[in-house]
Amino acid sequence: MKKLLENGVFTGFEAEKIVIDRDNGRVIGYIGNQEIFSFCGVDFSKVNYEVEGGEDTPEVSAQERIAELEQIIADLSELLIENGVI
Amino acid sequence: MADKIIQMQVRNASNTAWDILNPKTKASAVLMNNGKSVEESVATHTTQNITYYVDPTNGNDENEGTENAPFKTIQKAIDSLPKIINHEVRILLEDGIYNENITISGFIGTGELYIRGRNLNKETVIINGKIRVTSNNIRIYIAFFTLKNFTDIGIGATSSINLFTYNLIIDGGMLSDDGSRVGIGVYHSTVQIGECAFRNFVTSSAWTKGAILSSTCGVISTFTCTFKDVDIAFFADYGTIHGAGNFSYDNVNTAYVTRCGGQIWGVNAQ
Repeated sequence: MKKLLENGVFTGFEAEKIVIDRDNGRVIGYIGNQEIFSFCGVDFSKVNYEVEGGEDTPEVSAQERIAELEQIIADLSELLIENGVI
Repeated sequence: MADKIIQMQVRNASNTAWDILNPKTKASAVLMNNGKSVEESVATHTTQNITYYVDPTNGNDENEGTENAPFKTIQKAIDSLPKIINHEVRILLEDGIYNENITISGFIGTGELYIRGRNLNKETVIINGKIRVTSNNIRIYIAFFTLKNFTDIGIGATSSINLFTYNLIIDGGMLSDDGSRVGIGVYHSTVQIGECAFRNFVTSSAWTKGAILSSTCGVISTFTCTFKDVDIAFFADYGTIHGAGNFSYDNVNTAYVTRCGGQIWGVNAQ
């Protein structure tokens, strides 16, 4: 199990996988695919979270995947128009 | 007033005489107060609306709790009430500093109990201590005062339904990491928290923290609270928190945390 540290001190939160999502102000712990704890609205300029055992990378959310796909379609459409295909 | 003599006696098996109290015989125990059973001297239920006044400066717990003769302590006012409340009961707190821990326990009925600052100014009524609300099923409103200088949990609700906390300042008194502290902690209870200001809950203690904590089977609905110098504002740990409205954060590390199946809805991140 990995441990979540706050300013170097064990917080009491541990999980198989701990993701620190600095872009979205979140810290999430998982056992398997089950989310077992979640921090939201974290101000990372005030508090330093680390993971003993190494933090895991954020998974791309379904919403982010959809946004990414929409961008690809938009870029492709623009390319096809520019080349007179459509 | 002279000191009262309290005696404990039990009726004998034939109900014809009194024996000294046998601790194993609970059912027939009767508390005696100067030779008069408490059953006769203390009402078991309200028969009309009641208002008690409390003044920490000019009050006296030997008084009757009236406007002109207020109690000194809040606990005295609470202890003077019948346990069955079917009317509106108000305990009005005069401005000043109250140095006491308060327990509100065992009230049932269809009525309401209000404990609030008389002048509706939460800055001028200061309670140095903690409040425990346990095993009640009446509506209890506590409002318009500042709670500070408590250890562990400021207001702790256990096995109580319909506790309403409004217009309070709850000061955890922690500007450095020196232990755990919770502003309002809810266990097996339903509590509404509105327009309260939480200050000074800075700690990295592992297990018990959060200005507002919903623990085992706790249900909290909350709106329009502010948080200043707080590590975690909302913490749902086996409990749930329903938020409505925008919460204000000033120097808050984390807006909210869920753990162990705890759930939070309607609370804005920073």
